[in-house]
Amino acid sequence: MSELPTVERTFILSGKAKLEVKPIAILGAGSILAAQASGCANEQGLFWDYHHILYANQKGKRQQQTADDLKRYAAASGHDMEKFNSCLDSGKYATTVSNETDAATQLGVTSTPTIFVNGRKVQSTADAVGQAIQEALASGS
Amino acid sequence: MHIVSMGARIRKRDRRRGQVRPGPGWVYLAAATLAAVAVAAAFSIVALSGRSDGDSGGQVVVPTPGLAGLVRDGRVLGQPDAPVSIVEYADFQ
Repeated sequence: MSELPTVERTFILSGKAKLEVKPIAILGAGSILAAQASGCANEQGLFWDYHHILYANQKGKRQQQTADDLKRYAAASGHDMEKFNSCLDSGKYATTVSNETDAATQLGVTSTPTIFVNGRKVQSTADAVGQAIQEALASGS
Repeated sequence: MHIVSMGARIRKRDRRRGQVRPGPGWVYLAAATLAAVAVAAAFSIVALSGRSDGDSGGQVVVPTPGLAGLVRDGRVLGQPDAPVSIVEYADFQ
């Protein structure tokens, strides 16, 4: 998602819900690099800034993100570029991304975004997510 | 050859009558101009898409995150002890 949906924002602001984004790579080489780059951003405490800039500059399946693209996004979102470049070029998050993608696949994730609320897969619409949060709160699970 | 000479006769007749029609010369010139414009446009498109591919720096869209007031901890937004946990699997490509 490019922006936090209102329903999620409301529940998160009220302390009733928290949201974790798990980057996975199912759309090719650009996916893999972008997911790794988000790990590098996370090292600098800028995961969410990078998350938003990545979505704003998404290219889709036909035109893959390159390392140079990802570095430009990092520069535009206030990263220490020496650290970011070194991190991305090292491929240090390659295994993490691969493992998280495998784990997601095992859970039945075949497209993105795929959303789970308290471990239950729900449709990726604001209404469905909002309803699932309400149900989870009501059941106390 | 017959067609060319016929065209020449028609143009001669038109000039006599004060009517000027675009003859083969005009057609070739117009076609050449159109072709030149098309080639120039094609080069422009290639050049522009090359820039946005970005080895040397295409434009980067910088959004406003809009996360004011939200607790952030790594990849998690919100209070760590919040009762409901939302996990989103995302592909940034």
